[in-house]
Amino acid sequence: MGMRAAALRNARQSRFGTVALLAAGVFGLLVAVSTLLFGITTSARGTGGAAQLGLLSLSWMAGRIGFAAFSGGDPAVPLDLFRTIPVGRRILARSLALLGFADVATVLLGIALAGTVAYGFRRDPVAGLVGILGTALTLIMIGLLGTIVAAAVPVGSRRRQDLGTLLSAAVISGVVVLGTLIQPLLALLADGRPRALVIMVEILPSGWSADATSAAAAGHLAGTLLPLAALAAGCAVLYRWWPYVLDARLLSQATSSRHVRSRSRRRVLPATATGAVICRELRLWIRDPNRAGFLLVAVVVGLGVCVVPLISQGTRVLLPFAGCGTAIIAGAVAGNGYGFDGAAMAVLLDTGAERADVRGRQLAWLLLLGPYALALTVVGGLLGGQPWALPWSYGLLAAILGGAAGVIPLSSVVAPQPLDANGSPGPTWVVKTYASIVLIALSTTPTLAVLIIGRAVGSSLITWLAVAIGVITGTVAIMVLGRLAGSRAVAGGPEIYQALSQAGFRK
Amino acid sequence: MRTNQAEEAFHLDGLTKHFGDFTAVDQVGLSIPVGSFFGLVGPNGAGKTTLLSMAVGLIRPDSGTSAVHGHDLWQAPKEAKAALGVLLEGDMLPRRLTGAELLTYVGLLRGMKSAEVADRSAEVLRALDLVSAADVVVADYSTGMRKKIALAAALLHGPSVLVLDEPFEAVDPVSAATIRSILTGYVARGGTVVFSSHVMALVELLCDRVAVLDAGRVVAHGTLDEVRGGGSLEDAFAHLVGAQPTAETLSWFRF
Repeated sequence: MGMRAAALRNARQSRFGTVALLAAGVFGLLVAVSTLLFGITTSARGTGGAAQLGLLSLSWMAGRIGFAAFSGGDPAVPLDLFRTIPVGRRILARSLALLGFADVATVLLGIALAGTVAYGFRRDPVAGLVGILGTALTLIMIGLLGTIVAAAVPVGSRRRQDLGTLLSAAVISGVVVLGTLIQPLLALLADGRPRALVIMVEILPSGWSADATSAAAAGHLAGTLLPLAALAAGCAVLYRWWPYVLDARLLSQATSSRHVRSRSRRRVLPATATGAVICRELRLWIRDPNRAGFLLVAVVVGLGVCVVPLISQGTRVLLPFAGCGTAIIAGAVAGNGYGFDGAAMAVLLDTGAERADVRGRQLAWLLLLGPYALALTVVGGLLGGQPWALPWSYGLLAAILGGAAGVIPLSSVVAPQPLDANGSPGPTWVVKTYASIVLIALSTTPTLAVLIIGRAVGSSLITWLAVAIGVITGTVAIMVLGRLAGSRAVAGGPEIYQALSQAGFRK
Repeated sequence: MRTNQAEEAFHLDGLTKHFGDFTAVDQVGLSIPVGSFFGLVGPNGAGKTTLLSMAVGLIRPDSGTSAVHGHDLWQAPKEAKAALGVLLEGDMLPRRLTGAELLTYVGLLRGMKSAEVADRSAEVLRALDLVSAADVVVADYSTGMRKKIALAAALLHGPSVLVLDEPFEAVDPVSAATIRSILTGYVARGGTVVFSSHVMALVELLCDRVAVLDAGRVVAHGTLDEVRGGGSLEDAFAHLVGAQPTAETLSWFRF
């Protein structure tokens, strides 16, 4: 505890970092309070209410575990430190398990899961007390599971770690896509359907607290005691299992076999400074698990949020916009290039190639995302069967691709967010991602205005003119924002490098 | 902007850097003639890396200037950086590129022709015994191999001034001998080397000029003989930085 407190006290934090951390905390608090309010206000009773609370609890649990897997534990207390210290396994495991609860996530989880307590007290005082007990046990279980998952993230070879990062990204993508289904699912669950989902939510441990509370309200003794006993047993099993996981983690080998890559003989890209940067970027987007993971999130979520309405509501309205959605997310997650690359900024300062680097980053991102997003828009447009949506999707896609390619380097140089000691982006990066989404969305304003005017006056000519406007504003954004970013990189390069190298970054 | 210090390879004047209340480098001025093998020595935390980082433009000084062949690094960075070759630390390299890809990348960034980059890369990889690791990503390199690939990247464009921070650290003896040979050949052909090291024997073996840095200040500089006087560099160094030979041990050492 003392070590973590000292590490947090000594952590360097930029002004943006502090603001972003606060914003992330406030956002988390708002979501947690809204979950609590749902528990207070839901009118569903019996199976429906329990299933609703179970689903919310499952979402929180998946988010917490996904984050633990992605971040790989608390960098303030590196587990490798304990490899050579002869502390008893049980004492160390107990201390680290306790430490796993001492963070903001536990507080937010506590607030969110308290929805079950409120739900119980609204029915019956005994149900409320059962809710308290069930929620406390669920909190303990999630805390222990988070600690175990963080320690179980592969630390062996670099390639195993890379695989772990990519798997975590896949899990997070799934959670986000399922998150967009929450509202329609909650509405369905209120009536206790679909039956398969109700059963799944009831069976999973995340729903046991709500099951017990609901059963207590209905006066079912066995239905109350059984889930509580199962939760307690689950906590006990995890607590007994944790020392073995810790043992395996502390004894795991950090060896790395060398993998020889075949050298490409043909050079497709121009042999210039910008060409060299494009080449580097394309390689890093594939080889760097952080970057590849972000791309995976963009591809899955971008497609998922447009397909979900088709599944849940049967509407195809968003299908033509799958390309736009993917491009905007991929642009937002790419806006921390210098932060991802850390001290490698030194190569640019050494060679004086800052402007070429900015252009190369923009073009590489466009090469990577442009054709995919366009193909998705074409296919989505064909499957959507809504001719009115075509100029909207193409116009917005052009504006978004250009806007994103402009925002990417600019937000990279204005607020570079270094990776932490585990090589993972901290919570502040999430805030930066949301800020980038807003900025990219703003860059579509002229296109959107023309589309709205065209729609208002009923002119398809004006509506299709929006595509040209999108191309023009996109090109202007690439040029102007790219030039701004280049100037900023030249003028403030040493300061960016200093911020990144002082952050204790070791990739 | 070209100053009247063209006959000097490197000219540092009044370089100062504070980190909060801590003064890392304090009013350092050095003149390094063309063709010299210049050694920068100092105890841990003396400010050597900060000084060299400011000298090559990685860190902006709070005050003072740095000029390479008369080109001010902040006023005329293009000319100054074209003449400089800097040994970057392992974590400053894009670690997901292979050694060969890294050299191509750095060469093209510097505006070299691709055929020239390919020829020189092959030659320097062979010289530094990195041919078998050319297609392995830098992340899989050992510390010594990273040092060597960083040196290869610094040498690739044929700079006239080389700045090397601890170039022999973690390098095996055979590679160290190769690096020594490359560097002495480089100086013999008119190049200038500025390097920092903790190994006094190495500095005495290679350098003709030396500066001693202590607590961010230059406490002695000049030719090797001027700095070490009649004795060894190690004795002169200990005297200059106020270190006393010690027979210190720890109280709990009883076996």
